[in-house]
Amino acid sequence: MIRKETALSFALLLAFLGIGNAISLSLHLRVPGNVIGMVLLTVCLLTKILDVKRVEPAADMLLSEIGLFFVPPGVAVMLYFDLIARQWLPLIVAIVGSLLAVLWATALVARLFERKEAKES
Amino acid sequence: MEQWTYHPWFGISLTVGIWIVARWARRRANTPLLDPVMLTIVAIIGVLLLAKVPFEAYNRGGQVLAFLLGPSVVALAVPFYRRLEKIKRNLVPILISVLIGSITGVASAVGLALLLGGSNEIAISLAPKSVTTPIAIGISQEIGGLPSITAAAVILTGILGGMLGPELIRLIGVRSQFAMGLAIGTAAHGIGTARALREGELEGAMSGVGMMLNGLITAIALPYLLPLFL
Repeated sequence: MIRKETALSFALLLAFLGIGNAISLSLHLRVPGNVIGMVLLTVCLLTKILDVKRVEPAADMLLSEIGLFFVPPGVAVMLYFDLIARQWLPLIVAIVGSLLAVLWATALVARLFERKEAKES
Repeated sequence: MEQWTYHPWFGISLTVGIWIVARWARRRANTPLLDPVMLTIVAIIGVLLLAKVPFEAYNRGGQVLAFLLGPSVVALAVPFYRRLEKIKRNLVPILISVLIGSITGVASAVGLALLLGGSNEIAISLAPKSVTTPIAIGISQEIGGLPSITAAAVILTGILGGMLGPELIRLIGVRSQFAMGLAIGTAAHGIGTARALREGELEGAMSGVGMMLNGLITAIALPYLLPLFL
């Protein structure tokens, strides 16, 4: 059922994950190994060391179902119902307030650049 | 407690089964409120509580699915690469906008939580809440947060941003598609990006860029900067 290209591209993703984890551990970096693996793969794609077609089959397959893979860590929230009941106010205010702050800060700065560019051209 | 619930296949089939139903529900009514991840999490918690199955039994299978998060985060390089090719020319303004959004997000989340009497643990768990869930879970582990609280906060942020993001941005008079897309992706990751795509093609593309850059910036900087403050 699973095509050879898909299996090979999945192996490539796992290899980048392994390298990312090894770098994170051996250099005592605090950056998650999977993010280091992602950066390395992005660099390899940008520099054409690796053709995007080599990783596309498994990448597209995983990414179309990526939500499924973080369901279990999300279900673990049931272990913290007591904590949430005690701290619901800071949780809700921080989530709503911070959403507003990020939306507005990013939009205003981006518009500033856009206006500057419009003036220059 | 019945032994069969401790078999990995229990957690795997329960999750995949409910996920398929949730995805179907989402296709029928395309609204951020029916986020399939949130629906699946809520339904599974309901089943586990009603059937009195402990989380550790469910997680035998859950761990197997969660393992695929690793290669999936690496796979994010593919859409990131496709978008980077398109935004090369505007990279600096985009990078600075997202960087400011990123700093604002962490500082306001941590600050507001502490101000309202939240514990350090809660504040730390909230710090990566604007980052796309798979990356946010990894960051939360690195900085000593509770990854599941982070996941819940990320999903809630995404749903709110997906429902109200464009309206909230228009409220301050910003109408630029470029600024709107970037802001929604930076603030509300993938769930916001789904909404941005319905606003327009440019909004959707910029939202995807904002999501990826914010994830990357936060993953690299937060584990080093947060210990200086907390």
